[in-house]
Amino acid sequence: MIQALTIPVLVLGTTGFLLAAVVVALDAIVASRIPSDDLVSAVDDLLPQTQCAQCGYPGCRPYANAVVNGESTALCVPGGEETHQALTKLLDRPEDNATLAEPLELTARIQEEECVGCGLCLDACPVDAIIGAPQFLHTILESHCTGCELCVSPCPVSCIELVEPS
Amino acid sequence: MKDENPHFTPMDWRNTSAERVIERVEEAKIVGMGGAGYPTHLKLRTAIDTKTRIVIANGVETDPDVTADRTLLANYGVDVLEGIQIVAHVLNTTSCYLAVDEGILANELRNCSKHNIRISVVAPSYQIGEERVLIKALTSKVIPANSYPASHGIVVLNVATLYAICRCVRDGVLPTQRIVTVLGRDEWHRIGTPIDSIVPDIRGIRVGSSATGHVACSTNVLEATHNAISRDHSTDSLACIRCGKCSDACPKDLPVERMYDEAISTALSSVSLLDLNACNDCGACVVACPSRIHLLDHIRQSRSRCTSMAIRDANAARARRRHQTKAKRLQDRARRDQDERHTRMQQDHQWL
Repeated sequence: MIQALTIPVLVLGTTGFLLAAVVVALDAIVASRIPSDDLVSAVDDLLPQTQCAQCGYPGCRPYANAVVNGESTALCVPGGEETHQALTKLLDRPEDNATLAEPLELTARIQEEECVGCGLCLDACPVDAIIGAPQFLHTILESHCTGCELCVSPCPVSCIELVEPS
Repeated sequence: MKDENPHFTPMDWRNTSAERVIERVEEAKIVGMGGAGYPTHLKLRTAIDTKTRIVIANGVETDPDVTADRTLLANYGVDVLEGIQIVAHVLNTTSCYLAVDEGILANELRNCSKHNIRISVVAPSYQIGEERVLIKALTSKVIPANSYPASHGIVVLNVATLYAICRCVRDGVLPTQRIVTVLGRDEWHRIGTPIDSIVPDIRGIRVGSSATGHVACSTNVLEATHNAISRDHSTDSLACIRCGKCSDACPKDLPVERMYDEAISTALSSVSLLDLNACNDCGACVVACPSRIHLLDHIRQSRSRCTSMAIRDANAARARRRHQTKAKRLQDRARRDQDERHTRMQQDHQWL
């Protein structure tokens, strides 16, 4: 009885083991084939593109680069927990305990009575969503604003506030 | 029909020009009362310039427990038939069809019809009320998916719309009311009536049929396209038992069961967006489901989720593009400034 079982068990067991080894080897080859630049782009695609620099890097692409080189995936504030999870999954990182807050969707707005037309916010805006000329009222294109808050601190008269999009 | 006063002067449409009749339809602001609410005068104007012109009156009721159109035909059939004649007069055509799904009703209508309107009984299947399917069944013409039937000269109008056309052209009455199947009973109601004044308790109520309607809320009012107020059968729905009846019932062969799985999970694959857009909200899966799951609700939810995701992605792509443009511009400016400084310094050297 045992002898009758030995051969099938051995044959099937060996074949299974070999196939598993092939699969693992192929997987490793495929994983090593993904070029790093594509990976940076893939990470960049998952980021919300607000260019807010709240992660400490000057824009989404630099942060994507840093993440691929080992930076934490839990730094993107406007992306929130959803982006954090997506990045962890994409890069196959171990789960960390950080839980990000639900991101607020806000846009910046200039209080028109107070703007002095200094143009400092123009330079700060990463997506060119502010238009205006020197000594004239500036305004923010709401549809283009990403709510990054970068224009708030340069304003000398504190006339920019973040509001709910209309 | 409740009391109503003529708003326009009654019109002898047989001796009136087509343009004048269309203007009256436009002034009365008549829209398609079958579901989409497309302005009728636009439909007529599109079809008037085409070569073959066919009028199809859609009296087929496919939604479960809705009988509004049938009741309208049974009680006001003469007016509907005159509505068809008016549209035929406007389009200057003689090929008119009226599609109904009950043989008895068709016979009654044939008795009072002295005109060349072909009254045909179509087999009651779930899909037949959809206009492209109806056109194919009646005229064996296939309308491409990227164009509307009206641009091929085929005007499909719901019988309630035709009744409204007849009343506003012949009698000058504004279409302010429609027949609504309220929990199984057909009643006239004014358009714009708050739903909670028609049905006092709106819990477990759907505006529209129980399959294709949406859950009523206190701010809903009766719209021209609402043909029913029905009970929501999905309030006590059970778990999905994986019978696959929804996928079998789907007239478009969509994988409804998988779409439901994706809707209740968080991940939406890219394949599902195609399926979601292919679904035309007929509600056949809802009727088929033995667990009373309102699959259409889930499909609509995932569709709106996909739409908001697409908007977000588009915004992100635009922000990235603008950021790159700005970075390049700043870089170019810095280089230009440096070059200028360089040349100036060299010029200064020449002076020395």
